[in-house]
Amino acid sequence: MASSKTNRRNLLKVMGMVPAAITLAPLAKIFPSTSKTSPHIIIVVCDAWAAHNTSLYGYPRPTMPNIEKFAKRSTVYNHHYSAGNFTVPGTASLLTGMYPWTHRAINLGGMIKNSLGDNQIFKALYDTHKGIGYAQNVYADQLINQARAYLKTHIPFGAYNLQDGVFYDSPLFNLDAYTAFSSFEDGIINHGKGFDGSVWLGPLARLFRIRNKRIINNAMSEEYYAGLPESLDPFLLSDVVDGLIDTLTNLTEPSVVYFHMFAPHDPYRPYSKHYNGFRDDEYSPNTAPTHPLVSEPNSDHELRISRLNYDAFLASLDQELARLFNYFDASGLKDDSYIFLTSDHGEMFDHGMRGHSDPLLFEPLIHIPLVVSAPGQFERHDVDTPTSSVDVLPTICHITKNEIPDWSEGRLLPTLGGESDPERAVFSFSAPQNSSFGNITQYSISMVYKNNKLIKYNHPKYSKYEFFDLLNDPQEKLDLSDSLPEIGIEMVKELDKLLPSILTMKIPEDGNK
Amino acid sequence: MEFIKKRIPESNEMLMALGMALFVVHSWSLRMFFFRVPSFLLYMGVGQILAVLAYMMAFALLESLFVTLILILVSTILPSTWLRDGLGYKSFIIILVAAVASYLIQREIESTYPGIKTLLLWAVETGAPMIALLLLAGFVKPVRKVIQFLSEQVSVMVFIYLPIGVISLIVVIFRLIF
Repeated sequence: MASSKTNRRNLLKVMGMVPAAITLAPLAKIFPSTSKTSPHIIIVVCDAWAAHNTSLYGYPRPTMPNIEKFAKRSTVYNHHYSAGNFTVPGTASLLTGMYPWTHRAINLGGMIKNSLGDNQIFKALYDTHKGIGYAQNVYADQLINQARAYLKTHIPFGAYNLQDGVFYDSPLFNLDAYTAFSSFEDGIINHGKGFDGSVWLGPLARLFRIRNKRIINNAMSEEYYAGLPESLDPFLLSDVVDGLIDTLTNLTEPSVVYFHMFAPHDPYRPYSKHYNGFRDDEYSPNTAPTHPLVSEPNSDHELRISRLNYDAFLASLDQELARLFNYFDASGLKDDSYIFLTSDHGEMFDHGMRGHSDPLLFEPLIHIPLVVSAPGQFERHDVDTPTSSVDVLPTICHITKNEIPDWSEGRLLPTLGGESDPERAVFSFSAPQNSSFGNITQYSISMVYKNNKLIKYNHPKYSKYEFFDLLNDPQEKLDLSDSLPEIGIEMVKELDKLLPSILTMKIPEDGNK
Repeated sequence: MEFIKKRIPESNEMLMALGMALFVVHSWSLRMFFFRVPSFLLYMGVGQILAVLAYMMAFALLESLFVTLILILVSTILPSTWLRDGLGYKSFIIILVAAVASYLIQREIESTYPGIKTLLLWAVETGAPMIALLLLAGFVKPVRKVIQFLSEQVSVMVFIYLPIGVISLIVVIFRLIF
């Protein structure tokens, strides 16, 4: 009896609160609930990380054993492609879910088209997830900054560097960071060789930075025999991972964390214990001949040395990532977060090219790792159908029960809401010499379809289709474009049909899905 | 106060020093800006490019003022015959030689620190012609007259670059606040 009285009283109380709840409902959107209802989304991007050099993806050198361990409880996307072949388009596609020809961040130092600039993952998840963004790559940092209205925390570029020699990330320039970046870092103060835009203060600042760098390098020479890794300024791999762990430790409400590490980007500076670690192994890849679009061809010897250093750097990065994985387990984050490990583009030591600065689209440049750990996942899944970096955004929206924004051009990733589609073609694109405002005239575009790859190069110096059978010729040594198989002819037809809309920005209504 | 007033150079001399500094620093910045414009045009709108120009010109103004202030400060400290008397033409020589030296040094700066020996060498290579020219102009009247004439011509730049710098600085401040 007493119990029923209490219930009636409670019921009356609740009914009394209904009008107030209806009145206050709109406020819920302004002040999202702090109670944890949705998993965290943690995106860890390692800049210039090529699947090609990663042991998880079949590379003969044991470069990343800890990633392999992590993958045992994750989904591994074996044919994942970046939509771009360098940071700006690759990162912009990952953040926006759009192909480069749509978001138009196609130049070094370029930005996402103004009208689309904030159409990023942070905006898509704004109602449910607190946005936290960090990029140790200056160009990626500019892109994140475009969505600053949707970021609760934007960690400054230099936060984990040993000296902060850049100007634009000072709080003074918060409202105008991109202009400050373009003026200071890309003009007034030079960060490499060449001339500063300032007569005396520029070179003085440069000399001080170089001097400090030398002092720091000397102090750390035991740990980093080949010098410290650098992203404009030197940093310790351990500091960056510690920074990420600190960031994650402070998560109180559902968050989307985008953490873009600079390693293993050039300069390749591994720990001393990894330096030359692979020098005496038996792996000795035959390099393919120099491609006509390589601007500064490298000898086989140079490529071999660079590859050794890159592989060693991967091993060092892997060692640090192991600490991160342990933290995921120990903190319980692994159980209530989706963790995405990926890259913005790859790196190549073949075809005469070292790095990723030429407009080539060979596998090492665009085939990137994607390993996703779902909450409480204890088994490995493998996805063998092609996927693209533009798929990440819609997938994250799906798993967080957010609406997939109409700007997104990707699909849901298999096992995370999507179906494996062996009929799917994925594209990568490079057009750094074009205006981001007009039609595109010089470009490289690749299409991967059923283990075949078609590349169209359209440059004044070299204009040609190339076709490779990835299954039988993974190194892309044998161009079959002169005697195209039937599937190649189909792919040429399909690409030719798509190109006019891609190059003129007139995207068909159903997008590029 | 009277002592300081006595030590400070004549206002027209200071103006000539400022003119030279503005001329060299702004011209240098503009050269760099126009060097970057073709690539900026690929991904920036006109407004954005003008904003970058405003930043560069504002920085150039601050750098010019800084250099001029240093010259004035040094001229008040040193014996007046060394720098204070004839600050206009002397600044012309100092700024010109220092700019040429900066040009040559910037070509040499690599990613590795040059070391004390190289820095000393640079200092000597800059200081020696500067002192030689100062002495030459000090002792040879026709040379001094030519440099004075050039210095006066360049001081006109105050009326061009100073307003550009001030407007740019206002634009930058405005952008940083709003």
